[in-house]
Amino acid sequence: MSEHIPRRGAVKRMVRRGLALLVMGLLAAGCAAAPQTDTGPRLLAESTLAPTTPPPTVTPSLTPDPLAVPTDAPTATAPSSEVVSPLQAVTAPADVIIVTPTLPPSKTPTRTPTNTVEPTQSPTPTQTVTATATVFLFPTVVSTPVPAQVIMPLPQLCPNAWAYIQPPPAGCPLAPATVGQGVYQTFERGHMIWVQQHDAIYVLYNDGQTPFWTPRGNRGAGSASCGASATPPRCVIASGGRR
Amino acid sequence: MTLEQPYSVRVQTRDDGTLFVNDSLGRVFMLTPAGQWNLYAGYSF
Repeated sequence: MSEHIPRRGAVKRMVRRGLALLVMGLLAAGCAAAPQTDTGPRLLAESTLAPTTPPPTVTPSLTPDPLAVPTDAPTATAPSSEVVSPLQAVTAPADVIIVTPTLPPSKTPTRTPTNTVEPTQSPTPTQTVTATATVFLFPTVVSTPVPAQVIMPLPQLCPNAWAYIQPPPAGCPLAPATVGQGVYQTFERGHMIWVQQHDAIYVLYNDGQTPFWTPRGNRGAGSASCGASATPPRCVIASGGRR
Repeated sequence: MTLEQPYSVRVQTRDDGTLFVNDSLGRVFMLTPAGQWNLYAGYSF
């Protein structure tokens, strides 16, 4: 700091402050010396108010009102204190040079280069996988021909053919069929067939037992009889003819 | 029919001795050597 020559306004202000302090001290002493009387207000009852939320306090700000319109007209305001015009300040040349210390310019931080992580070498694939086409092989059906035995009646070649029987029986006939006179007669218990070429009577029994047949030597020696009273005559093969 | 019916009889013998004899109605009797007989399924013509 440099030394200043005290101004005249500042001296006045100090004098006024001293006077004001003196007046206040006198007033305080007078009040303390005054006798106390009972004419003052007395406390009759004591009531307590419920605490309420205090309204928001308005904090005065030092920003000027932008809406305020400056007017050139002088306002009649009572001066609160004496304003000393700066023009009346007496300045005297001095050999003192006021040097305001200024901080040296701070060094601007420079961004230090950080160690960047270099990309590591990625392993190169050594084995290449190649897609191979998959061919599904389905089982082939291999069919081997199996000779099957088919039972089919082959036409038997016989030296003598069946002459009159249809369908032909199995086997072969011994000789060709013979044709001759024949007599057929039905009886109560069977049939009788006379065959001329064999000169025999074939008696076929059908008496409830196992069908049986027997040849007879000649036509007259039959064991069959016919009733003369019956119309038509009833012929019966004697059952005694069975062997 | 109870009366004698003359007709043309055909007889043929098989190699096993079975006689095949037809009647007047066209039926065929098969007489086996064992003494049994039955009507053959076929018919004579």
